[in-house]
Amino acid sequence: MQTLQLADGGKRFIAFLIDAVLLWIVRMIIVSVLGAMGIAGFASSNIDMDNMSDGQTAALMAYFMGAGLTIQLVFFVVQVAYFTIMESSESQATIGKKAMNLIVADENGNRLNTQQALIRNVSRIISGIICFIGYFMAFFTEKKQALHDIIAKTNVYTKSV
Amino acid sequence: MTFDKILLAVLAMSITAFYFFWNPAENSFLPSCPFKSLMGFYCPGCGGQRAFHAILHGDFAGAFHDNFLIFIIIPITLYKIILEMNGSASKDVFILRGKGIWIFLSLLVLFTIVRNVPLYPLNQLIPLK
Repeated sequence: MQTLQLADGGKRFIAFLIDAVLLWIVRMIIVSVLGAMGIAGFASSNIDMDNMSDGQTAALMAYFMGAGLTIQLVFFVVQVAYFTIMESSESQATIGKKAMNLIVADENGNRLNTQQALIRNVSRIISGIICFIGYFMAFFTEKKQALHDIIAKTNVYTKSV
Repeated sequence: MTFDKILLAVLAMSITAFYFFWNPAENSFLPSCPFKSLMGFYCPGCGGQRAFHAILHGDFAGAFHDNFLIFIIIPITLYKIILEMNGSASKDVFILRGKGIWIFLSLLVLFTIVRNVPLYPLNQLIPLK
């Protein structure tokens, strides 16, 4: 029989850092692959860089902005998918959380379904956009919940056997 | 447990030393705030690093400009660190529960709105460059 205890902010922070490093590596791979594709697309366009019309310059800027936006979107989807799939899986934890012996569950300690995990991890945008104050809330709320935990009605627990 | 305390102490001192010697206003290698970049408004945390740097150098007026929340965050963080070092984290009184969480979030939204109003005296809350 394993008992669940609400996890401390400090442990969650370290787990988050581990996941952040892993995701950063994935991000670099995505940037390299999609970036190379973008540059290859540009190289095959036969644009004379020294004599570009204003229209071509604008189109080129739009092309690279679009490429940048695509990379951001792809990375966002990968990030949400990673957290959602791992947290709703049997292990109920991402790699960082596994390392810190943490699991994610609902307020009654039950495993999350995909929908709950998705709500939790999309809500990370709100926690993050206000200068990570939503994340830091785990240090000073009663159930040690971050803002995205409160929104999705979830908790992070320390697993002890 | 002892290791946790040492880690906490080392982290707290390193971060403080870092912000004492590094002036975020002069050279910032960190990406700028996504909230500010996307919407053009200051988020509740904008200016926080500059405010911490200013306060460590005794510039309280500058810190107030940059982000006056630093005057609330530093005492609470110190309090929590001291409790943690004493092993008495369970005595922590600064815990938000129930409605307190929503009051906190409402105040945060209010601060975000107020600090973006470009009129005196509210414009005193806009971070200095």
